[in-house]
Amino acid sequence: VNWDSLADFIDMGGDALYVWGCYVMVIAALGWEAVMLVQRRERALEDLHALADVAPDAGPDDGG
Amino acid sequence: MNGLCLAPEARRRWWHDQAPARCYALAGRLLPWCWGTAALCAVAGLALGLLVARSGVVPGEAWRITFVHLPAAWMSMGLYLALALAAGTGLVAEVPLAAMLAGALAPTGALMAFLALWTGSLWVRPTAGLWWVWDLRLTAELLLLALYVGFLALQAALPDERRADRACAVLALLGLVNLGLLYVSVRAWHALHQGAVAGAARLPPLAGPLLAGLLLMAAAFGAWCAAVSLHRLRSIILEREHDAAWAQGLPEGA
Repeated sequence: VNWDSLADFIDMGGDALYVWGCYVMVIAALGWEAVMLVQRRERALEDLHALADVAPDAGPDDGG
Repeated sequence: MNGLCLAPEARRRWWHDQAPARCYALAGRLLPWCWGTAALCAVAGLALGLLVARSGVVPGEAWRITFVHLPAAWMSMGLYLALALAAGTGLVAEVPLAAMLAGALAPTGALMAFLALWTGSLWVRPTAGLWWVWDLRLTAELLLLALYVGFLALQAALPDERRADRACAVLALLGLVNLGLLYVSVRAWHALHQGAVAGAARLPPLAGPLLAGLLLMAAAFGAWCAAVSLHRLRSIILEREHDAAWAQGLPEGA
């Protein structure tokens, strides 16, 4: 391992702002995408079930 | 599978009626593997990249941005190629699933292009003393982001799904010119991107833990992109097939 201490690791040889600025943005962006993804799926399922309640005779098929 | 060994008319109907439900189920089975691969490769790649790898020749530590910058840039290009192929297939063949797949790839591609630009900017600042330059490669990557955003905006702006799919496909195919430009710009021009960043002076030799970490991070990004695209594709299939009997018959949480 390269680092003498945790502080040394966090300092990144003086480039902390740039290195952590990248890694934090990547994690934030991917986390945001995951939240959007879950919300979109929940919305799609809600719409599906709302439609199923309106048309109850649309019975289940073989699934797929 | 069986879509390939049917008569043309039956094949067309298979792609139209059966394929979305089959794809929905298949994507659901693939998802856990994609998430798992992404997580494992990310942990191993970050450990190698941030803890083990050492540069030896390059001053500072900003080169460690490579482990997210290169995978994001590769994904932004690879996803665009996949998007254009899917959208083009939807344009020439009657395969509704193809347009849905293109729509599922676009948001992730946009995010990857943004991350490639963001991390590139934060890498070039400490190494070359500037945030941005209108170099061919950087400009083409910015245009790539604009193409993704344009694709999504066009899709949202046209209420008729089929018209939106066709318009988006034309845009995606035109954008392939930009992708080609981005690809050849690696070798063809010796501007800031190649000289200062990707050149031997700023990137340590690709070997040992550094190369292993980079490849693991690329695998992690690839698996992540596959997972989020498949997950989004399943939502899009539900949105578009909501009146199909198979979708109505799905059990809760399936």
